[in-house]
Amino acid sequence: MLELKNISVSFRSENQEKWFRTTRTQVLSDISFQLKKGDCLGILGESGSGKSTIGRVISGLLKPDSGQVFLDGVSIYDSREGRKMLQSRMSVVFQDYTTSANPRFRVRDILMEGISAWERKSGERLERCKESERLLNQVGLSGDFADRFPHELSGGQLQRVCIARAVASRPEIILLDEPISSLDAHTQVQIMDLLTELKKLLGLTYIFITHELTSVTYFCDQVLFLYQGTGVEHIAVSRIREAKHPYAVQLLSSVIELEGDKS
Amino acid sequence: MVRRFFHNKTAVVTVTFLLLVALMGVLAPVLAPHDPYETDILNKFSGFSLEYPLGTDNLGRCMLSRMIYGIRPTLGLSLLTMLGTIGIGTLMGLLAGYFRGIPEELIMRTVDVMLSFPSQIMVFAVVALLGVNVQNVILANIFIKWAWYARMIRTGVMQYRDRNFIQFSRCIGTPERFILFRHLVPSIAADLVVLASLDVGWAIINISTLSFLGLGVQAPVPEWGAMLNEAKNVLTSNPVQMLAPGIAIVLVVSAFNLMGDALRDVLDPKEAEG
Repeated sequence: MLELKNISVSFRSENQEKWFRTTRTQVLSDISFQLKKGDCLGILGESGSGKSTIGRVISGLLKPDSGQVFLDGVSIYDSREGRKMLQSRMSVVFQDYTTSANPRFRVRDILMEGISAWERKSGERLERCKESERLLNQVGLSGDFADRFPHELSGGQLQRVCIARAVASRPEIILLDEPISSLDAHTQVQIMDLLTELKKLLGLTYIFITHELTSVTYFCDQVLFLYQGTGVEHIAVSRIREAKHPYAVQLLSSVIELEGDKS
Repeated sequence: MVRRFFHNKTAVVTVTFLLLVALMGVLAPVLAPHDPYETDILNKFSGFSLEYPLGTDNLGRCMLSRMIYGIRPTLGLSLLTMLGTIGIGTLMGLLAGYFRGIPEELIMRTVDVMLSFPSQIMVFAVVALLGVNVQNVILANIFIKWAWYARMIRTGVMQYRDRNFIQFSRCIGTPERFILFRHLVPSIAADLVVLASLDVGWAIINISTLSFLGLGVQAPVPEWGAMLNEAKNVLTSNPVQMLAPGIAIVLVVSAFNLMGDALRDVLDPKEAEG
């Protein structure tokens, strides 16, 4: 359903050597991939490899220099309708939960933003209190959390609220930009299990951006290795050991060594 | 928020004080013992007495009554100036900070031009151009000061516009109206309140200064700065004349500044509730 074709992105460099010259730094070059409904694609790369930039391109916030993003065959950057369609079918969960929620909103208001997005596109009115309680229950929190402020929640709880907000607009695709990286190991597993459960329940498609290979193998169907702005290897997780690119091999072997040490 | 407000002593004291002052201004006809315009030339420069608690001025008018009536132009005009500057400044700052690109360049270059003139001189120039009149003083103040606020607000907006919660709103297609007025304006509200209360202090001083120089509120109307101006003429023979308006201006301006600081704490939900 989602297709990226030859995406390239560059930014204007901070340190210009001459006045009025616009040297640009290439961040992404020639990235293409396709994603089927119900899949979970992991985008794996180290810091600075362009993971988050690709997330911004997919979520419609950054127009690429060249290349196209298609959603069911409609290009999302070429027309207003395309962008509107993307907005109504996409949602996002961020890594940094401390800035993900407006600190002046109560949990109820945070969820309300997602709920009203759904109301806008479907035209039906929901009972907002009940709906926010249902969403909280769905992510494993009790309804009493609705009256709290974000700073009164723990990291894991707040990330659950963010996930509830993301599914509140009933999207088909959710972009997960390192949703678990700033949580501790135990909570990471809980959140991943929650995401898997929601995926089954709501028939979602995930794009999972991360720098940890282990979470990709735990969670995803396919993986795209991103190295210095290019997609070097796109492979199913079940066949991950057949990866050939040196960067992917190096990453894999480092994890296998670690696992070897433990046993 | 109400609880945080009552826990903050500075906020309670300054807000109460300023509300009392404002109330005195509103109830001036009831509270003032004399008509502020009534002259009694035989009684000029009389000291503190039961009939004239703060004495009389050079024309024998009751100082206390003039002080109480003076609250109206002093406070009213400065509030008006504040609303004008903050209103225009916020709008421009929001537009420049959120939309970026061409609107930002246009607004910020205008701001740069405005800020490259010394503000007091510009006020004089505008007043001289439009004529000596209270309305013109306010117009001049707004015209000069909005640029300063636009720049401050833009900086605040830029801090928040790339926060994840706004990215999320943009991603799921929340209307810009909601993002601007529910996310951005409350986020910068704390800064806005501090700016606004500091601005009132500045406006009081500025209007008083202009009245003192004879460019603002005109002669018979009681205004604190104008009263200081009249007192200045008799500085050596009757120095007591300066006290009442001078102290009043200092008190009200410091109250506004302290209130700004205290309200910032009250408006921040992260501040520990204690």
